[in-house]
Amino acid sequence: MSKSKDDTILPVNAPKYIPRKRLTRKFFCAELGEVDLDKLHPAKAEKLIKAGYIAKSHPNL
Amino acid sequence: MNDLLFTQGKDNLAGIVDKIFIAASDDIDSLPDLAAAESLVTAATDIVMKSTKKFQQLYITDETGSVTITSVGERDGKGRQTVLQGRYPALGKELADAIRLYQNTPSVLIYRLARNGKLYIIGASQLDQSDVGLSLAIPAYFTNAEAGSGALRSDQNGALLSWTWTAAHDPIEYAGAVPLTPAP
Repeated sequence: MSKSKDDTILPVNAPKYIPRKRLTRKFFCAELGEVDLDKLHPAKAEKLIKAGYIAKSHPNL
Repeated sequence: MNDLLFTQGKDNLAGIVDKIFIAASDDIDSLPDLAAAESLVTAATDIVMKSTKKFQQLYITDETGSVTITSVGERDGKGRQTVLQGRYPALGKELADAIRLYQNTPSVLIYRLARNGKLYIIGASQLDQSDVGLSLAIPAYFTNAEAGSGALRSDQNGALLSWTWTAAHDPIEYAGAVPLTPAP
């Protein structure tokens, strides 16, 4: 049986969020203070996305 | 000249909060531009560090951090001198090692104002008033670390650290993020 090639399935360790160009994965911003993209709460992520610091790594996340 | 007005009924707390962030000027690859040449606020882009470099964090005891900005120079040639200071609360090798590195390193520092939560940079200057570009040509210099053990049990130990920066203008509001992991 062939495996599904559904591209909505991400590898377990794939990062959920990507920082904007040339920003590191851990940073400090005026809106939320210290942020670590690898330990990010979804509610905080929405704020950071709205402020333009990060984007979802996949549109279906 | 512009109007200088004040909105009543808004929060307006004094002091600086959170940590101070510090990097050697030489470790910075690029600074953001100002959003407009006429105003001291950057565009929403980030400081980019050179490979393997990042900003370091400096803890300060709450209500010991301050920024003081005074006019310096003669008539027709005045500038603004900024002194940023804060107290680190523990004497010891961590503090001694940090001071040794701070004291002779031209630096860029970022602090956060309590009144609005925004970040401000010293050590980055707008040299050309008509241009949005920022320069590292005038860094902030470490001024003093008044360190001591205290004598009475009720005394403080640690050090009051301070940096001084002089430019044509006040510290610049930074609308980007401070990189806390080494640049790739």
